[in-house]
Amino acid sequence: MAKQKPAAGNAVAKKTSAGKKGARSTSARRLSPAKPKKAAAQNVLIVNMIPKSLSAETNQDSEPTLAVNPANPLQIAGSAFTPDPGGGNLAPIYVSTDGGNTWVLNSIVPSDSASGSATADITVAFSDSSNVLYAGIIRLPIVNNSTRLNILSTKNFLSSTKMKVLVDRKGVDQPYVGAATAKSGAAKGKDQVFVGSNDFGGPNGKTATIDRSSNGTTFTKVRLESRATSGQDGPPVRPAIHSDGTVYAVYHAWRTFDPNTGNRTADIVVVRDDNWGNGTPPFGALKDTDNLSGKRVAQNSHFNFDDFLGLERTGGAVSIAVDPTNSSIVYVSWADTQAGVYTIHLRKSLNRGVDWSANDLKTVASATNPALAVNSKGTVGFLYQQLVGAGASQRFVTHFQRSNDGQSWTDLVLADTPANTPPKVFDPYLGDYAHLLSVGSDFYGVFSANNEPNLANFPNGVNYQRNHDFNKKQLLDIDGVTPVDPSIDPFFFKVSV
Amino acid sequence: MPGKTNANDVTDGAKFLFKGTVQKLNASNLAQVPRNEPTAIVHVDEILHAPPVLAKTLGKEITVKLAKGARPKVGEQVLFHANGWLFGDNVAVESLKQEKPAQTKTMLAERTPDATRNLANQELQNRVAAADLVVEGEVSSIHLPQAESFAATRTAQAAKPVSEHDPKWREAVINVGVVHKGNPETKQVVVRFPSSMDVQWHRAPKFRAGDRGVWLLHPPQGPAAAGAKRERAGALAMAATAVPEATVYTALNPMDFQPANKLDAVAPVIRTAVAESSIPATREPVRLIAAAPRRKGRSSSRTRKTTQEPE
Repeated sequence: MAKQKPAAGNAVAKKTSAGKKGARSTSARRLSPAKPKKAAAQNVLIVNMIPKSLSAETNQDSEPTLAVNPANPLQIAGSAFTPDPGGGNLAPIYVSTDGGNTWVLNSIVPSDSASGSATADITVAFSDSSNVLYAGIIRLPIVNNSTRLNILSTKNFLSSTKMKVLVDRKGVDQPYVGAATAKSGAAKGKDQVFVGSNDFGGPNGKTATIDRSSNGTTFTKVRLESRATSGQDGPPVRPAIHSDGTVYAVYHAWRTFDPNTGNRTADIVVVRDDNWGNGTPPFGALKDTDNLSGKRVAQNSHFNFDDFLGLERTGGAVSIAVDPTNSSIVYVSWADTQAGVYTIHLRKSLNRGVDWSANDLKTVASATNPALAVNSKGTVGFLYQQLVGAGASQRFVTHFQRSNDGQSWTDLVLADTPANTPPKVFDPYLGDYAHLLSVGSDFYGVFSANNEPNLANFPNGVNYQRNHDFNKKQLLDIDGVTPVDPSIDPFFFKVSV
Repeated sequence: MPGKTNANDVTDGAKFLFKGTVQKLNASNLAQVPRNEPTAIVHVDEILHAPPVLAKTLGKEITVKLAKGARPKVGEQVLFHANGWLFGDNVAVESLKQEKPAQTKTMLAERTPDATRNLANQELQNRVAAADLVVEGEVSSIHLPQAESFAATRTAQAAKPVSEHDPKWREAVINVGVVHKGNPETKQVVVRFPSSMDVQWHRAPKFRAGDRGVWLLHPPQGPAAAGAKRERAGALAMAATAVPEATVYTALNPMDFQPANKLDAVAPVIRTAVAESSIPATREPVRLIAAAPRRKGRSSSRTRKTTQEPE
């Protein structure tokens, strides 16, 4: 199968030639994607994000996230557990300026060379219109055995200037950043930033937290958990922001723990704020039947924090998305163990999180990394990675599904790759999460998978920047000759609806 | 551009030291380079030290963001102290400092032809310099720190936060054969290491009984960071039964453990670094473990999970 032509609308940024004295020139300008592509059966673009100069790399580039600049959708940032290729004291982000067709790595995230020039967690998000890129990271090195949160920002994600540190605090896990720019009211024009995390400083084991900012610079902590926990909440806390100032968050509320088996139960809790996190109290607008803040979408959700799905560790996952056309419509997905099988669920609310679909809109067994987004047409997008098969022939199949009504779904297989090759280097193998978002009617996302250049693994096509031979199904070094072993790479995708 | 430089000096933080000839000013060969940056296209003539990715730029043209100061001329060869910046179809680096090349003979005499090895050797020297103790020896046993005991981690309301980044500490007791740096009377040490394969910890060496080699030891993390001796009575309860006088250290960087069967390449580097260290060396002549006789069925690997789990 041939490589796919970029989806319609993916114009490539063009550089003008140097016509004036002292003006910049680019010796090797590219005015179109490096390789010609045939028209796609659907408007699907899938790109292996590893650039050509890193053709020799065999890192396990797992746990990816993505951010698209709504003010200029050609500008896209990505992240993964990719170390700085230069081995320096800054970790990289992935950067595209042509809508995802080509990528570079730019090391601007605080890190440490002796610790591997990477992070232990990283997510990224653009605000709506300020062109500022925000990041939430667990920064290395570890200090006093405590995970170190940094919230970062940059106004120029191609600059060599290190990202600015806005928050630096210890004892925090899995920061997940969301950002928007207020379009009206007192905060008009100011970035509203929300970073969900598991903050072990939360009192009495109530650790689900959002760090929020109403100006993109200074942050305050908001504790989300209102109920007793089994000592703490779980790592994933995810925000979802609507342009009218409605902000939802979902978190994994740990309720019970069996010390003999390690089995736990959790509630899947959704909170809401109706005014950019300025509610009284913040994120207290949604109450459950016990009159406490946070709607329990599901209770008694079973899981074990030390379980695996194939080589991929599990332990609870959540995702949330709000309909940009109607802030009352919100979707939530989570993962738990059902009769010994790790299973993803998807549910919907039509009234601002008060009531939820009694049954799952989607139930997917043996799957992980759910990610949700809703586009400007009200179409919900659902990304996940499912383990199929048995033994050595197991595969991870990455699906992107979408629906206009939550009942009838269209399925796209983005990747169907070996689940046990390459060998695992560290946990997580593919990632504790993948990512999906929408800009206008387009869906953008990122997942990690086995990078063997085998077109049969990518039924909707794929583009590679790193040297490869599709016929021999072989990665190649920078010399174009020396074979390179397969590894885990991040894959960007865009689906135009 | 002022003066000469010692080509072995990487204290300026430059990972990529190379001589290059300027081909074009105000130019780049990477489309993503911002227009407003002061860049030049430079041919990489000679690399003195570099990480593996940048070592592959030898003989190629790359984009260099020039450091502040006098700008080089087209055709001029410059010694660049640089770090990686953008990696795309081509490579762009950021120069921290530019100088006229030092005397070629002096540089080459101090370096191997392998630019990647040169950088690795310098970084190993830095690890030795930063270490409190450098010993060679053998792991006699593996223990569970008291705080990591089954009972401690399984209580319903465990005080320790649960995170996917939990290090899952273990402790290796090392019988010391030779002290290369530090207290020459050291007979045993305890090395705390993370058994976790989480992204945060997977690079840290893992140990098992029988491992032989050289350890570059640093103060421990966490509650013991303030004073290993102070912690001895508490968290060392398990190990303390075997080594009551041992002090706890860590070896968290992959370079902090050099297995016996791979010492030939690094022994000279360690000797040099120890000799240059401000802390006096050993009570006996410096020597490093020769390649150990092969034991049937055993290999010595730096990074693997422990197989001897404590009760």
